[in-house]
Amino acid sequence: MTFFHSRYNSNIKLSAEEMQRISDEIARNFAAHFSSHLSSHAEPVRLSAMELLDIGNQIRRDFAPKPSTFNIPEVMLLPVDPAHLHAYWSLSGNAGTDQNENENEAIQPLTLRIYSEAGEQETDTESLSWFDVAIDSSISQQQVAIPVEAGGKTYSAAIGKQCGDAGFIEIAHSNVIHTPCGQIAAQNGSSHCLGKNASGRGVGEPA
Amino acid sequence: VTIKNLSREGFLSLILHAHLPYVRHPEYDSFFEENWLFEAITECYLPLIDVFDRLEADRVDYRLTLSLSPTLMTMLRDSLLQERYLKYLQSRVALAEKEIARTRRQPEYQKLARFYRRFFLKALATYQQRYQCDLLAAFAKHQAAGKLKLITTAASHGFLPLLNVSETAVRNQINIGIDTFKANFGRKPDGFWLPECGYYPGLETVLADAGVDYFFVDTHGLTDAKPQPLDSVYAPVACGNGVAAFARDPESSQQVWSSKEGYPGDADYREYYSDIGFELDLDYIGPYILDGTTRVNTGIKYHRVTGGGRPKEIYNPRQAKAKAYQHARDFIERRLGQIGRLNAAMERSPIIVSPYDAELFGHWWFEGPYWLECVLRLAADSAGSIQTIGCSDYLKQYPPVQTATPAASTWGDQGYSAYWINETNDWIYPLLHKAERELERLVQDVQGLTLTPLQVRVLNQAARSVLLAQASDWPFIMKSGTAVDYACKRITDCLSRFNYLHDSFRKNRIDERYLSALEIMDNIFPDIDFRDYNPSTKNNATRTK
Repeated sequence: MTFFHSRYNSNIKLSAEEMQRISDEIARNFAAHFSSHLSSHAEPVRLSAMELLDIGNQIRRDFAPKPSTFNIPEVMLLPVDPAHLHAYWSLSGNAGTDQNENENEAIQPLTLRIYSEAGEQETDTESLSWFDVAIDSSISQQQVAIPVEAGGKTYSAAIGKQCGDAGFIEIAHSNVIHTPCGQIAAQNGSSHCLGKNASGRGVGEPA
Repeated sequence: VTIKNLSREGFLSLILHAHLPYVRHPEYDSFFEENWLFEAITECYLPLIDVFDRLEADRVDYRLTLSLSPTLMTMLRDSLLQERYLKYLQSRVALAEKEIARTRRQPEYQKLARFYRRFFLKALATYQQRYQCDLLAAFAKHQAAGKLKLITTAASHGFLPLLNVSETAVRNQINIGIDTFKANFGRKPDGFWLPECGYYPGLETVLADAGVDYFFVDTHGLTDAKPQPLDSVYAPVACGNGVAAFARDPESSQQVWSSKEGYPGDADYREYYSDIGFELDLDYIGPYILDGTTRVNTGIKYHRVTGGGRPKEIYNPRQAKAKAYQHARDFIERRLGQIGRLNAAMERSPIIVSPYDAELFGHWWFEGPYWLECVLRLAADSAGSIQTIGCSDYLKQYPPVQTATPAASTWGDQGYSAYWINETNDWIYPLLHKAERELERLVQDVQGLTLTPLQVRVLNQAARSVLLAQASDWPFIMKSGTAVDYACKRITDCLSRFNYLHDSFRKNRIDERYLSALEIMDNIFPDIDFRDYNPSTKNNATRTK
């Protein structure tokens, strides 16, 4: 598509690309410029808004965060509430992504083994217990329900594979977390903060 | 107004937490999300300053605590945003004038259009003439008068319970928050607002190291504390290390926060969701909305809540103010009743701690600042039955008698961390933790090496990128579903910028032009020192009180 100037020299014809290029050039050369106040040079680098935008876009395109680049397998736990914890893991470069392992996966599915440890006030001598959560190898994180009455306990986890003889081949072990004690309030409990500032929903409902 | 004098006194500590995420985009001529700041300045921060000015002029003896987040402080002092805000206000004045003309045959609407013109012109006068575009100076003035207590929060409002896989991350959120406050106000804050009231046992150690005297938890942070506090949430507990924890009073919270029973939902108050940006023809409203096509709030709203499923009725500011006064009286009377009951059961004078998001007042609840003014005036007139107080003053008069460890808690929905980690936002945590870990490793690797000024800039900027990615706002927005694309973009941008800086440092391919661009776009925390991210040195973080 070619654009024609509306009032003056109608012989000048500009394509959309040319318009864009001229616009970019003007913006680059004549727009307000920003300088970094952190530059140690006497002559700081000056950049236009368009240059900032270009650099921001390029960095986003070329350096976007990727989760699956851990060199060693790992599993991490995060406390959510008295009844839930959250686990995420990465098995890059290890058994979990090995082709032979994948072939055997139907027999040996990935398992998240959650270990709970006794709280300070518990005197049970057999206080360390665990339960298994089967996990889908296509995902890399999952919320895990824990017994509600267990709130306020200490947990760790291991990711691994079950063996036929009830054994467990551990691939990675997690950090240790403490889940909150107490009871979960009803959802949208009015005593809790829902009215968020400009980023959220305020008091009342939309008209 | 006569309020019944009780035999013993009681205290009310009102805390407003003012925070917005860092929304500053010099790479665009204008950027919609910057309006979050502009709306908050117009509808909340300036009206609050007007309240403080009036109380000062009338010599009202009040106390109020205001927590200012480091991102908000930085934006309020930023010259680009100040300049853009002036343009925003001028466009609001122009729109109000256009409305006066449009509504010439609708006298009731025209009256409101004139009301809005006065409102925006007053905002302009207060902002530009009275305070020379520096709202922090206004807050500092009232602090110097001894009425307003200013405190702060974590650097980028990071949600600390989910950053706690690295103590260094938590420590830097707290320390850099305090440093930013100090840089703006010339002194350290004595109190600290935990973002989203997110507390976990052990956090008090980091707070003590940072020189903090007290912090706040949600109600169940104390009611589930170990051992259980004798005075429930009506007295602070000592955490055993010189730091005290205060807890939110559920009753006064409910009266203001509740979307069903709270004051702001009253039929006479202005309806937030009725805005001409969504109601008038695009041809007409186009110049005042996003790109001329996407409908957004303009700040001109003609209707009241009305309620009962009826068509929205026209807003009457005078009627709304009368209701706000009535609600303020109700609030004070209920607090007096509470104090009477608590005094009968407690051996010390109780303190009712009532924290709210500052942006509720004026932005969401238009009449909120006036309600607050009435509450403060009524308390001052109560002949000592109820005294507003700052938490540090209460601690001086009534040091905590009980030592306890608060329970892990937040003020979010359901009381814990579920709002910030769920199926809408859980993808961010592996990325955030990875970046934090890589930053710490990088800082450890360069320990003892001589770095060029350019390398130091890269490392400092990398630390800024990580900090900005940690803001609690992004997972919150993803869950609330309000501006999800923007929240995802911000997290992705911050982490991409960190990755770029990390990569350019490791490969020794630093491009100063690119570095400068990132410094310009993320120009926050100017005094940051990447060395504080060395976990083996514990950040040099233990600070003297």
